[in-house]
Amino acid sequence: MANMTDRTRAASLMDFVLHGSSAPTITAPYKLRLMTAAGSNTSNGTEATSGNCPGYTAGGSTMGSPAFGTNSAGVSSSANAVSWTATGSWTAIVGVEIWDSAGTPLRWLQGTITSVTLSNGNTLNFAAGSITADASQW
Amino acid sequence: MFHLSCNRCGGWTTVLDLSDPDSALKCGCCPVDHHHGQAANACTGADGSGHPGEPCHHPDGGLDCVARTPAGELCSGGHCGPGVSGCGVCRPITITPLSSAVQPARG
Repeated sequence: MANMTDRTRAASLMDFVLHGSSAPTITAPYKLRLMTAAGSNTSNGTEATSGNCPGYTAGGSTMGSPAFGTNSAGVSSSANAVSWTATGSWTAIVGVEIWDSAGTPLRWLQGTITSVTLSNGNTLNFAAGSITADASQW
Repeated sequence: MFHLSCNRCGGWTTVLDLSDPDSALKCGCCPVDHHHGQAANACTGADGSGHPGEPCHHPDGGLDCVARTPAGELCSGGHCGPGVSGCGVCRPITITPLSSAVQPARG
């Protein structure tokens, strides 16, 4: 199991599968958040803000329900597009995280991306299928 | 790798280096030999709220640029139209990370 998942979330899944604990509660929809500093499987990244990335709203944007398609050959791919349009120059985005919509949201997935910096008016679009979760990395 | 597309004409390309996406995408929308993101980034009203009631501050006015939001549409913080005096904003683009760019990180 590598670092794709938040380890606390992975632990709750392991307890469900291996220990007989209740299944973890996941409040839909998942939300995609953009990070100006990447996190890890044990620590959150630094989320973009409407101040350093005008047009982005803290807390991210919904990935729809379901957020991912049926797993195929060990890979789950995002089911819907998520996009933002900059209304000013953005600080570089270097990572993404996927959080649920609980009252106190929980982080489930994280990853790095090649740095993206938007000019005012440009759009960052994560097309359907472009975000993948590979079972080999859990 | 990223897919870049012009929001106006749909022209597109793919790039590995996103250091200057506004220059990396070549299309026929703007015939002017200038940087296609500089004016947008220089917009003093580009703070997310636009600049309602305030004239565009772009130094050359952008009068030769044809790749703008059509006249009559609301300015979204830098994207005015040919009918808006002095607006110098060029061509907005969409940046789409391809699947290889957003694979979750390995430990």
